[in-house]
Parts: sequence; C-alpha cells; structure tokens
Amino acid sequence: MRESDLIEHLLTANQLLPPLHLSSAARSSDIGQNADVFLTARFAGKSLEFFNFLVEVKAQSTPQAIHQAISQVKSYVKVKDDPDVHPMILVPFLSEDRLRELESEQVSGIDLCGNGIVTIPGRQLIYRTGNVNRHPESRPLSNPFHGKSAMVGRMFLSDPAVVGGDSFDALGSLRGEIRKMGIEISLPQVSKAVAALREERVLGSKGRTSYLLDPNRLMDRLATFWKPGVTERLFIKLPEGIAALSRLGNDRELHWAVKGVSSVGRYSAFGQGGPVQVAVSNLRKAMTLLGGEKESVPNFADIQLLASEQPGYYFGNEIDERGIRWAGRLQTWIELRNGDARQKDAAKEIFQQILS
Amino acid sequence: MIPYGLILSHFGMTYLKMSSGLLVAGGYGLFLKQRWLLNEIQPKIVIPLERWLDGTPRVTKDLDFIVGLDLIANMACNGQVLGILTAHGFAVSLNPQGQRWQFEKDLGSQRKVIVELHTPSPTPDETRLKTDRIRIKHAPSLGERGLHGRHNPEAIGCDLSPFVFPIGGTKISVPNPISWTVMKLTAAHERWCSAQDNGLDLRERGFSRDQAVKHAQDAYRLVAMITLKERDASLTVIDSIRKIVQFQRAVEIYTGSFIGNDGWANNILQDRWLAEDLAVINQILEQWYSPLEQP
Repeated sequence: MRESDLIEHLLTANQLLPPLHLSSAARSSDIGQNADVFLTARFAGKSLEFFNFLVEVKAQSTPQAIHQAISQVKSYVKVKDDPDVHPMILVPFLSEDRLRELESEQVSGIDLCGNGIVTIPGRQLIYRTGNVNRHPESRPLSNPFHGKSAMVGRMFLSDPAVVGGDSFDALGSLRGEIRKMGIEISLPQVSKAVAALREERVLGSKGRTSYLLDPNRLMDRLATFWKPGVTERLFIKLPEGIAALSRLGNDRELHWAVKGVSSVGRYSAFGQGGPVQVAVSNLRKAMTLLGGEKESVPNFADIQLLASEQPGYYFGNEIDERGIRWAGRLQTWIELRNGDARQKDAAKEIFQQILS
Repeated sequence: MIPYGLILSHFGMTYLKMSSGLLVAGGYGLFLKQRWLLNEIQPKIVIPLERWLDGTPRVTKDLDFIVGLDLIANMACNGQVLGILTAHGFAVSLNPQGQRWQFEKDLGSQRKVIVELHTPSPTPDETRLKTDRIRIKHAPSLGERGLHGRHNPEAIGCDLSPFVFPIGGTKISVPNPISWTVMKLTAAHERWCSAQDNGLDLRERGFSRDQAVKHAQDAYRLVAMITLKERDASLTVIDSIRKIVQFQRAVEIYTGSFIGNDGWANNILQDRWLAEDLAVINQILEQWYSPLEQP
C-alpha cells in the first residue's frame, strides 16, 4: 500500500473513527499547508462542534515510521500556531503500544482497521483498540525476534554497544561476535535484522554506532516470539548421570546444550524437578554418542533429549569444567518467561541480572 | 483416635517373624504409601505428587490386610493375631458372612472401624487349611481361638516383590502393583456391573457406581505411585501370574473399561489427571494388561 492510496482513502472517507465523521478534507498542498491532509470532523448526531486536524500519513506501521510521523505533525502544528488545529496521523495499523505512544504525545491517530485515538488538549474523545491488523506489511525482514535473526538482538543484550554503524565493517564485526557465540549467520541476515530492529525502535543509531535503545522491549519481544521448535523427544536413562553429556562434544557438527529450564539452578535458587532437558540438533547422533537406554516413564529418565534446530538453544552457552554446555542467562529467562507460574516468578530475578 | 499404628506394629512384629511381613492393601495401603511419599525425601515415582490434580491422601475407615496362608495355617501365630485384635478392642463381626475374618471396633457416635483379613487361594495340595465358599481356615478348626481369611482369588502373586517402607518405626508392606491392580480392576468392574443392575434400587446402584469409580481411580493412583524399583520388578511378577485366570480377567476388564471412548473408567476419570500423565499411567497398564498372544 502506498502513501497516496491512504491519502485517497482519507479524502473519500465518510467516517474517520465512529462516531467521528469527516466534514471536509483537502490535500494540504492544495491549501498551502505542511503535512499531507487538512481535515475537519464532527461527531454524528451531536452538537455542531467541529475539530480541525493536520494529518501526516505513512504507508508503514512500524514504530519508527509512527514515531517519525508524530514528530513531523507536531512540528507542522507548532509552525501553524493555531489553537484550533490539532495533530493527527494515519497509518495502516495502530497497535496497543503505538496507541499508548500517541496518547502520551497528545496526538490523534487513526488506522485502516478501526483502531485509533482522537484527542485534543484537555479532552480525550475516542480510544479504540483490539481490531486485528488487516494490512500486514512487507519489511526488510519478516521478524527480527524469531529464529536466526533473533541472534542479532540477543547479541546486543550481550554487548550493548557494537561500534561501527551501517558500514560493512561494523556489520561484519557484529556478525563475527554472533559466530563466536556459536551461530553461523550471513552478513545479509545481520544487515536485515539490524534494519528491522531499528524500524522497531529497539536499536538506535548515532553516527556509525548502533546501540540498544529499548532493552525491555527487546527482551519482551524475544520471549514473545520464542518457539522451541522441538520435532522429537526421547527420555533416556544414563547410569553416570549428566556427566555423560560431555561426550556430545565429541562430534563438532552436533549442536547441543542443556535447556534453560534445566540450567536455571546456575542463576537462581530454583528447584526444577524431572530429567535434565537437553536440546540437540540431531537426535540420532546424540543417542549414539551418549549410549544409555530409552525410558518410557518420563520421571524415571535421567535425561530428556529434544531435537530442535532453534539457534536460541545453542547461542551464548556457558561451558563448565566438565565440558557441559548450559543455557545462558537470556535463554534461561526466555524459557522461564514462557513457563508455568513458578517459572515465571523465577524469571523475574534473572531479568534483573540481565539488565543490571 | 484409631490405634492403626499400634495395630500395624503388633501385626508386623508377629508376622515378620514368620515370613516377609504384613501386606496392607485397599485404600488404607494407598493412604499409607502416599503419606510416606509425602513425608520422605521423595523417591522417584511414575507421576510426581506435585503433578497430581487431587494430591490429598484418601482416608478410609476400613483396613484391608492380605494375610498369608502361612499365618492362617500356623496355630500359634493365628491365635496371636487374634489376641492383638481383641486387645485393641476389635470384636468378631456380627455379620454372619464376616465372622472371624471381619472385625469391628465401635468408636461411638455410630462410627466404627472395620478390619478385614483377605487371603489368596491355597494350592490344591494344601493340607493345613480348609476352604469354603467365603473363608479359608485352619485345619482342624480352631473354633473361637482362631481367625479366618476371606478367600480372595484376585489376590494373586501378593507374596511376590511386596513394597516395604517404614511408618513410625514399623515396616509396612503393600502388595506389588500388579497384584494390587488386579484386585482394584476386579473390584471396580464388579461394582460397575452392580451399578448397571436394574434389579437393584437407585440408591444401591448409586453407591455401587461411586465405589466403582473409587476403585478405578485407586488403580490409577497406585500406578502413579510406583517407584522405579517396583516398576523394574513388575515384569517378573507378570511372568509368574500372566496365565492365571484372575489375571486374564483383569486384562479383559482393563481393555473393556479403561481404554478408548467406550471405556467407562476412561470417560469418568480422564479429567482427574493431566492428559500427559494419564497417558503415562495408561501406557504402563497397557503394557501389563495386554492380551496374551495366541500361539
């Protein structure tokens, strides 16, 4: 969807955000204004109170696009210096987070899905949310919080300032750090992920430096979009216990690590019962290396092997003196955040450790 | 307060001198095992107690014991056990069918506790015992100086691999889980059949239905409480009793009542466990109670 399509939609619309009706609208350029559209609206069936808005239109709904639209329209209204003209933005979709941003900035905003906020100084007229996004947009990367792309964001939580900016060298050093953490990733993937994280306003940039702008939001998104990706699981008995896991290190092509839910004892006084859960990239190889016998009763097993290609399991592992790979704090937190009530409670302590 | 501990202690001491210990079965055996699991540093069991949707030990007013044929047959021990029961205020049941294997103690306020002594079937060549439709008794009769066992043909293999644990300084033995589930499955089935009997009044049928569900749930509970050692011993026990008719009947009961949408027990009890836990319990029961392969 192009910006011109949205402007056309606005000019021909009858309702803006029910019960707010459009009375008149014009392209700002036609009447010598900044912004995209100047419109007048009123409530259906009520008094003849009219509201004037300067509207900035954006074809993208990313946090960065919306943030930019808010700044622009506020500056246009300030230049106009007319107390009867108020700022408004129009984008394809407004999420709950973006509506809250609009509310705090005292700017009105409507979308094409029926969500919006209409506010003028001292009065909030309409606040509507909950309608689903009917206009998902194409972006340089579909989701920077999921799969291999998420390792870029995770790297920023390990090292909050990767110096270098947009140049090839800087992205190259970021890629190098991710590879040191155990994950193979291409330069284009790193580049797209950084761009998407900037659009999400999770990363900021200053000169040649990309920096972490919103660690809370980054962690929240990483946890929300975490998918274990387990394709198969197996319970096994190992007479020598978890010490046997070090044998998995004999195959360099095998990715493996103790899962976060079983690593939590390293970071918090939290008792997790049941067999130790170990993620592996190849179940057959792991079984061959470990030996042991299959166990049909989960609680009688010493170890639960879970086949998964999810790179999150294998990123930034901590390796102990026996050669056992444990989940790092971030992965442990992500798994606990997605767990039961007790685990969610334990996640709070680790959250503080990561951000401190 | 019922002196269960004291009774068990005396029973235990008496019987331990003769064989491998007293078997406490029924709901009280389950209660004692669960209480032990709750109080001890938990050994691994099939379904950890914290995962049970109903983790409260079920109390019962009846005490069911499995007494070995040796105890009935040994005149001295037989009399000793009767003496212990009498010393603790238990009297022979007035119920004509329960005499000398069922003992009652009046607790006042119309409450009473009942002790029942159950005995497995003797071998055909057993000469020290007499058997009738209900009882197994010492031969020759000990009259009022002896006690009997309620003939319980489902108590097959109870002498094999009992599970022993301490409660208050007393060693308690409960039956191995195979023998115990044979008894529970059979009891559940018989009660369920009564509940379907149109010849009985509604109250009686309702009571039977409740009892059937209780026994079926007990079968699940006792599987959930199996320790690793018990599980590992279970296949040996099955090999010993697989061809006995009571075991084969339990196979039919399990496959007919506990599996699939047609199984009444499955339908009623599936909400009482987490789905994945019930799957583990049923996996064990299916392994035990699979029909014999035809030669």
